[in-house]
Formats: sequence, structure tokens, C-alpha cells
Amino acid sequence: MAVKKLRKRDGNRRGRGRRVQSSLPEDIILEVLVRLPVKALCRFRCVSKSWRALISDPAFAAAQRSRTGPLVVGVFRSRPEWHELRLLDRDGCVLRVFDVRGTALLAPTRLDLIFVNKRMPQLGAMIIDPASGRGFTIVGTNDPPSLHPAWCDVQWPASFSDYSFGRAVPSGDYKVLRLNLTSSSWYGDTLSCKVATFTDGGEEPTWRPRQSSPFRTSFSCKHKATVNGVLYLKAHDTYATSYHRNRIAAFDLESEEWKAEMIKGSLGLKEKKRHIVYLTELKGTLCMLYNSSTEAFTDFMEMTDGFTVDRGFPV
Amino acid sequence: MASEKKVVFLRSSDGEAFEVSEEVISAASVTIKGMIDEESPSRADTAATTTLAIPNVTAATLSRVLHYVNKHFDAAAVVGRPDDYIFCAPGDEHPLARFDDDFVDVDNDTLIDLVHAAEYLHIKKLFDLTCKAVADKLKGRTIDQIRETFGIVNDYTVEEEVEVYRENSWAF
Repeated sequence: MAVKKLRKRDGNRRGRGRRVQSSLPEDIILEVLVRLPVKALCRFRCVSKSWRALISDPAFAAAQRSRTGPLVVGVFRSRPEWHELRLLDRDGCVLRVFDVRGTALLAPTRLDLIFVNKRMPQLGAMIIDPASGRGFTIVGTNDPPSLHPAWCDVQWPASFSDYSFGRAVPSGDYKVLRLNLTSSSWYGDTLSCKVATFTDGGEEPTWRPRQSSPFRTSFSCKHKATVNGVLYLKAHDTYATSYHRNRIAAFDLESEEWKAEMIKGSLGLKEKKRHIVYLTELKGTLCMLYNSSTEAFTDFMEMTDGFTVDRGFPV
Repeated sequence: MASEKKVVFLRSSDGEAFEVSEEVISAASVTIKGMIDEESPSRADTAATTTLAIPNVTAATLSRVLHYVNKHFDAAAVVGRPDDYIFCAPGDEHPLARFDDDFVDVDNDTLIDLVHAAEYLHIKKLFDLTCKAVADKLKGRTIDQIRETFGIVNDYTVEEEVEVYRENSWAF
């Protein structure tokens, strides 16, 4: 493996002060390297091919991350039309900056990859590996933009794509779900659906057509969550109050099928109050979080018995 | 149980013996705890003069290690949060943070000896500390210095090297 080359040269030739690191066995050199900050490691990629391979190795990156603690990722708009994604360490030092032009929404994922949903079809989505610094753009639909509503003088695309990202269980494949809303399906009830597996090679993924979504799902990243390999998406009309409209669709990333049962239930909202509803994952459980100017509480979805909404917890 | 604190003697590779509290060294070193546990049936209630041979560690290094161990693992001496001081906010310094900084502020050979000793004795905190100190020494080095330190031959072609520098240019 790559580590082999890290070692050794004849120590005698050089001065005593320099003997040092070369006298370290490979496993200790590795232990030292995982304690280096990302920035130094990126620099050290230039040392040799084997160092580059070692430092880019996912296992090494995972070990390095567990040493340095979690990183913070944020999208910053430093000037109009210019979004940049910054990777920060816990001290607030900027480690890396990625250019994510146009609108960029950082999708909350609990993965070691960063997923940026760019909303506009021509921009697609981006997957960034913070460890290696490689970014990968998923190209959106190739439909030509059109002038859509009469009152709108900007180029408006003929369709919208929304991207969701998650990891299949048990295979561990990273998959992207693309839901497409075209002007013809604008008032329809379903979205055409394609799935692609994201591979390390960075080549353009092959989109596999799958069954359409059971209903129109929300394109907001607030309304999506991946729990244990299943992607949950709320309906686009989440804020409608009627009981049966409050639905959550579930897409299994492993079998690439929509689950027959969807989650239904009362939003548990007191009437006439404006709440913002979030769907999120908390320690392996799907949670719905409500937030208004005066109160916030969560519901935990119990996945075991028939997808019923459980207790409300004030936050 | 016993009011007297049990002690053990550690004999370095060059024959010097060091006295240390059994309780403290057992808490610090997995390796020595294992040795003591093996010994214990044979010395049932004899009043504790076990001597353990530490063949891989010299007296100079061993005395440094024990200095560290006594600071960090002697419950009577340790105040506050023994484990989480690394994550303290600046200005909220743990008393041992300063000690650690000074402890690893040594020449390279001494530091490497400490890494080896920490690994052999299986003292995780010391191993973390010393590896981090080596990493800190490497951090500021240039690519050429790293190549020289590890005796690495640059195997990039000119084009590849330009490319890899461009790819990682933000880090320079």
C-alpha cells in the first residue's frame, strides 16, 4: 500500500537532527499524518504520488476527521450572485473555499460528503468531498430554458429538477434522487423520478428512470430527511392544514422504490398559527420539528409500527 | 484497603530503576497494568517490591514518561477536568495544558523516543500528545523539506506536478 513508500532511507548519512522522522515506522507516520490539519495535508499531496494517494484515501480521511473533530460547512453569499461554500474547523478558521455559483442550498446530510442542491436545472447539484477537496457537479436537465410566465422577463427553465442525496443501506452506495417537475406536470400530482449512483470515479452518473413519486413532494431541503437509507419527502403543500394532505413519501435508496405506505397524520398544529415545519433526522429517528414565533416542538415518527406520529415534545 | 500506597519499580533498558505508585502507573499504562496483573497472584500479600523490566525504554526517556504520568494520572495531583482540556476555549486554560506544551518542547530525537515509549507502554494520552507534537513540527515544512525528511523521491512528471500544485494551490 501507499504507506510503504513513506519510509526509510539510510539514516547514517545524515546528521543526527534529521534522523528523526525517518526512524519512525510506517504506522507511527500514519498516526502523525492523521493529526495534521486539512490544509497541511492538502499541501503534502504535492510530495509524491503515494502521499497523494494515501491522503486522498477515504479511510485516511475518516481517521483524520475523527481526530480533528467535526468540520462546519456553510454557504456564504459574499456578494450578489456569488455564493461560496466554506469549510471551517471548530475554531472558525476557513479551511477551504468552494465556488458554488448561483443559488446554492446546503442539504443537511449526515454523511462525509457535502451535498449542495443548486435548484436551477442548468446548475444541477454538487457533491463535494471535503477531505480530498474534489467537487463533482451533477448536470441538470438539458431542456432549453424558455420564457415561462408572461410577466416574467427572465429566462425561465421549462422544468425544475430537485435533487436529494443519501446513502443506501446496507450497500452504502451514495445515491442521488432527481425529481423533475415539467410545465406539463405542473398541475399534476406526481413527479418523474430518476436515480443515479455516485461513484468515486467522478464520471457523469447514469440516470435510471424509476417509478414516479406518489405525489408532488416539496423541493425544500427543510422537508427532506434520510433515515437509515430511506429518503423521506414531505408533500409540496405541506402547509395545507387538511389531514390527508399532510403526507410524507418514503423512497428506499437501496431497492430504489417508493414505499407503499406513506406517513400520514395530523400536523398537530393549533389552528390559525403559522408554523414552519422541518423534517429532519435525529439519532436514527425521523423527526418533524415545528417552529413559530412563539413556540417550537418536535414529533418523533416511530418507524416500527405503521408510521404513526408519536408524542409532541416542546423544545 | 491498604493504607500504604503500593509502589512498583520500573527498570529501564540501561538498568536504572524508577519508583512509581502502582495505582498511578496502572491507570496510565495498559502495558504495565497487564504486567502487574500477571504478577499479582505470586506476590499475594508481600509488601510490594515488584520490579518490572522495561527493555525498550532508556532511563532518560522513562524518567520523562514517569514525570508525565505522575502529573496526569495521580488523582491527588490532577485538578479539574483531566480529559477535556484540549477542547477548552482560549483563555480557559487547563493547568496541564501548559505542562504538556513544555513537555513536548524538546529536540526531535527526544520527542521520537517519547513516541516510541508511549506506544510501547500503551499510554494513549501521551501517544496522542507526542504524535500531535511531531505533526506540529511537520506542519510548517515545505514540500522539499518533507521529501528530505522522509527520503521521498518526487515521482511526479513536470506536468503532473504542475497539475497537483494547481489543484491544491489554495493550501499554499
